[in-house]
Amino acid sequence: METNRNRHRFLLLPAALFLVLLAGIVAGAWYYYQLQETHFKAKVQDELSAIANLKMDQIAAWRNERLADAELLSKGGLLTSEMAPNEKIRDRFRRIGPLLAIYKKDFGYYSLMVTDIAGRVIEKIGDASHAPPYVDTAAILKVVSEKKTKIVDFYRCPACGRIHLDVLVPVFAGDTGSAVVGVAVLRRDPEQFLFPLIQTWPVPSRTSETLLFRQEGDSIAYLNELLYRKGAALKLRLPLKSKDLPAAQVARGKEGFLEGTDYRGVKVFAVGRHIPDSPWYIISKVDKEEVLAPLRAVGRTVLIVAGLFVAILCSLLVMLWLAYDRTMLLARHKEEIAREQAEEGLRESEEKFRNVFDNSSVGKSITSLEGQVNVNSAFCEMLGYTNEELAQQNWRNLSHPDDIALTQRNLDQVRSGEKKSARFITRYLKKDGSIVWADVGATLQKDKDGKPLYFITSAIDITERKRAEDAMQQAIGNVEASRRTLLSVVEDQKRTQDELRQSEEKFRNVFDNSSIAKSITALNGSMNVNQAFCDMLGYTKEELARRNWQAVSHPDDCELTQKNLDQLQSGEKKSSRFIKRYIKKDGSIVWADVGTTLQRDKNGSPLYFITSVIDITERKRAEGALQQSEAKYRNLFDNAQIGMFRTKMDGSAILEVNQNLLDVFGFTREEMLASPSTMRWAHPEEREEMARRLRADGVVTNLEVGFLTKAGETRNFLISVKPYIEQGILEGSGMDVTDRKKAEEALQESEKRLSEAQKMAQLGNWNWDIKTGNVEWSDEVYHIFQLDPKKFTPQIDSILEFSPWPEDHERDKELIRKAMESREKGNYEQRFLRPDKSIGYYQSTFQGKYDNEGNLVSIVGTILDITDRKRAEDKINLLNNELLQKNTELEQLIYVASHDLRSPLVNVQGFSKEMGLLANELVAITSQAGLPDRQKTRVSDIATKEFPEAQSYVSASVLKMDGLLKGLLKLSRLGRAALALQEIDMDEMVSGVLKTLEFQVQKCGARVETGSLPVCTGDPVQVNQVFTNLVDNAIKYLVPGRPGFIRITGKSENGISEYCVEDNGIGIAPEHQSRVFEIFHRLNPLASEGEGLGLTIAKKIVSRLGGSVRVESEIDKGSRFFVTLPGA
Amino acid sequence: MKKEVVILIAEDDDGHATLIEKNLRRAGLLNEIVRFRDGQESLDFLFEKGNGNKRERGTSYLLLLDIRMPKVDGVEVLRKIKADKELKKLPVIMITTTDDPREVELCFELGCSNYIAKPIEYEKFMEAIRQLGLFLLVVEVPVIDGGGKK
Repeated sequence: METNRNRHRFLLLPAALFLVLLAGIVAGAWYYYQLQETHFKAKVQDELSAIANLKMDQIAAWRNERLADAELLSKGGLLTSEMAPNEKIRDRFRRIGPLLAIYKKDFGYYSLMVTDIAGRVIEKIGDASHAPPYVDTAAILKVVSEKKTKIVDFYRCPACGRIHLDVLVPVFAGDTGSAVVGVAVLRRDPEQFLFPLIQTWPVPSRTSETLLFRQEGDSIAYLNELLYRKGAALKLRLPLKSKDLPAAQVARGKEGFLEGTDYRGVKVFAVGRHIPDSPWYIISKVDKEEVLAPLRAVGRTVLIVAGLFVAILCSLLVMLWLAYDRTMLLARHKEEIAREQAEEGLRESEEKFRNVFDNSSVGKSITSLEGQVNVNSAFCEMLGYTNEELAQQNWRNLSHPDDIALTQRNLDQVRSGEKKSARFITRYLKKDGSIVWADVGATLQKDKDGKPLYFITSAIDITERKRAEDAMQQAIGNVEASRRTLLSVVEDQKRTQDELRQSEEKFRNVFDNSSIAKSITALNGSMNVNQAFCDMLGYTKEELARRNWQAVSHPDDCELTQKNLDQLQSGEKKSSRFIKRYIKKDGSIVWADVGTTLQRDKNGSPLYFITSVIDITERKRAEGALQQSEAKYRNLFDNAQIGMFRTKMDGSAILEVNQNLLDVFGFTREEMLASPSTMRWAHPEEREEMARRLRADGVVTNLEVGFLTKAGETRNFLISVKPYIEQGILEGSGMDVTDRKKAEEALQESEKRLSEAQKMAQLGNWNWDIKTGNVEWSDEVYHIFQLDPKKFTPQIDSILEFSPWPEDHERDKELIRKAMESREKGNYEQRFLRPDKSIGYYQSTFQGKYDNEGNLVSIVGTILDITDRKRAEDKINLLNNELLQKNTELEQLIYVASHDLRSPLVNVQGFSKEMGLLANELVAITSQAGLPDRQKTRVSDIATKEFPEAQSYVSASVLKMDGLLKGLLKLSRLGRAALALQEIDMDEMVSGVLKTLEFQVQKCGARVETGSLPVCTGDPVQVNQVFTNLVDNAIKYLVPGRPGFIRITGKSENGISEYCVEDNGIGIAPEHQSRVFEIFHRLNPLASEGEGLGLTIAKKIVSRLGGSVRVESEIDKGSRFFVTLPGA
Repeated sequence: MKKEVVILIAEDDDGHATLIEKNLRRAGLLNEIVRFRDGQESLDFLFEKGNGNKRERGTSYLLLLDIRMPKVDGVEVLRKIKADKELKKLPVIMITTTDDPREVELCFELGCSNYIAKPIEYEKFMEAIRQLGLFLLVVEVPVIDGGGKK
């Protein structure tokens, strides 16, 4: 309520102000209108008064002149002074008749009469129609008795029906005042001078007129003819009492400016005057409607302006209202929010938050300080859980174990206030156990007191990105990894060798620290062993004494042992050394290095064998491990998908290669190892480069080199090499990158071709990566803008910056904006400034590229150099303008020339006619002069025959020349006339044309046939002219005496309508056919009339309408005129 | 009593001027006639400039105006007259050789009182001027007072 009252109070002031202003505007408009009306009225009053006064003066003067005339005639005038004593009036009248006739003519009387004192007409001059003549006898008797001149006012003559005004003059016998012998009646016809005088109006006006009237009893009688009612003079009578009638008002004595309703009942402004010394009044009047018409225009303007003011006021008020309303609403809204907050606390805002939270496409979680999560559906989707499954889960259970610490650290930082928000990348575990990489942002929500409430976390799934990154990483590191694998294998082998050395040392220790096992073995095989032997095999001396050597030897090695012993016995060898296995007492095997000699007696007969045995079990085991390791290495080595090799350091030999390399080179292993490694280098300088790097860095990584295959082909390898100085070898890996290289080269080649093609087409392309902001230009773009690609780095606005015209930028940017909005291809043409300040033009085409989600990723575009095209266009425009100007000049010339040429013709014609008049005068004079008859006849001949003949030639030539000039004027106007193009029904038009020419057709008796005609587009008036001219032409050139035939046909083809007007007339000779359309060309000037313009005009019209006209003709057979016009 | 209307003829062609004057006289017109040979002369007279003849204030004038004239053409003269506060009362009748509708329209737009195209055929010419003469006999012409300053 309070608010509402405030609102009303607030609006009271503007509303009051509005009403005051409204009243002000209305009053102002009314006042202005009134002012204008007064002004108009004053103007019309001035004008009418001036005219009425003028007319009044003229009429009064006229009336006075008439009376003065009469006095002149009467007193000392013709009639009285010429009177011989006692002469009868009739005789006198007859005697001075000729003089009276001149008098009548000079003073413009209708008739002159004389009556006797009884009013009988004695004699009259003029007015032959009046028989018997009418006179007002009563008035005459009055004149006789009063001896005074009297005017008989306007009356309608009962005899002839015309209006007369008579001046009656007494004729005295002698001096004035003596006996009256008769009365002269001077009769005037007011229609001859007075009425025209009254009726003319000096300024242009539609409804103005002047009325002459008199009072007759209690009515008004109009004396002159009225503008709006014919035959009203002296017939129309209106009551004197009419209140509104201006004439009545004047008659009642109200002179000057009046407003009223005239005899037609139309509202008028009028000025009335009484003609002094007469019963007449005049009224000059004009319709109110005419006078106030301009005022109404003013009124409309005032109304519109006032309306505009009111509209502005209203809209201001409404705007004020809305602004106020919004303020109030906002205030109220704030209040409500505050109240609800007070009532419902945080819940409301939490709910709002929940809304945003739940509907967000980004995974979000509210995480309690203890770690319980409360997540939205995007988060659930990301991890593949349902909402319920994740409710109250701890984030630690959802995170990858390795990342928990990282996450915890970030959360702690946020909680401690060290950071306001944290952003980090972590891994979550999906329900199915797979890993989700996420970009996580976390903030801490605190209550009013700054006490931490919970974390708000948003997580964006970047697994795909991560995967892509990893794949990339993997690809890049592929070679490096292989190299590392190889090196690790090498390390492995080295380690194995070390182990072997250690075990040998260990063995030697054992050997050194114990006595060597010895046995004296009899020829029958029984042994006599020492303690060391016993220890070796785990027997006691006693146990071994009962056994022969076969019993403790490995069964598989007995044969070997026997063979060695036999060789000693036979004397083949002096001593033998071999490796064999013994079986220990516990059954295990002991490897032993056995040396045996045969002891002979003096005669050389074998006595026994002395055998030393060294336990090499440990060594054997180490050797086994080595072999195993070597097999592992070999396996890796042979199966690696990357080439591996070992060579001598100096390149003199290849020591080892793997299968991959053999496959690539096409060698067998033997072939490969048969030649030195230097032979495989395609470019020896590359080997030197490798050596240089090895010396410098100790290692070579990913050096690209060329190797020769068995087939002699060079293949490109990426090699990594490590030297082993002590051994004098090199080990390394090599990857065949020939195909990749070829692909790269092919790519480069195609890029080069593209660049060349662009260069030829002067078309460059560019690409703007929105994300990175990188701008790439093809070479041709640099070329078009004449820039050096090495020195210039393009930015996105670079291209526009070459056009230093701000107005162009706005237009282009608008076009770009539109294209981006509509996601369509856009383009514009633009001029630009080259570094050398010359101006060029390009056409830019561009389009946005979008990812699957519709985000703008990049913009690609082309730049086409259109400078040459622009130049050509400019040149064409220039030529066109020149042509237009020339055409205009020509038309102007024709126009001026034909006008200026016509001017002298007026003089030629005029003065030749004037001379004719002078000649006539000459004849009149010579007829009175005393010339001999012969000369009189000659003068008469000259004046009546030769002069008119000469004149007729002059006149005919002048008219012909005028005709030609008019034709030229017509032609020049044709070029300027505006065209009103529309679809034309040609059947209708041609039948109209034929109707117009019906007379000519019938006159020559020709038969006319019309086919069905297609519609066309053109200016109907001008097309009509074309066909009128063609048909007229056909009629004109028919063969006299041969039945004429004219046919009009038409057809439509490819949107063009073609018509043919055909005749069987005289035809046109081939040599003349091209000239028939020339101006003033006429086939046979004597045989027909015309200006020679018909075909010229037809051709000009048709070509203006975008069509053409041509002729086919054969002499004496006829002609066919073809007209083409654009179809519908 | 007012002074008689003075007829002004602006016409560069002596022949035309003679023919016009002759036929006006024939129609019974006895008024004073003043002749100008070009537009500039007419303007100097009306706007009271230069060394030549100048108009008298308080006199009624009526101007017969040709269009194509040396120095200043008739259309320009008409334009200047109708742009002047006082002189615009002066009735101007165009008498010219051209009957180009554009020219006619332009002159009426500028405010000429009438437009007469001079016919080449003399009978028609005579008749046209006679009609003009009769018109001039009865027409009322306002007096031109001060003004005339541009």
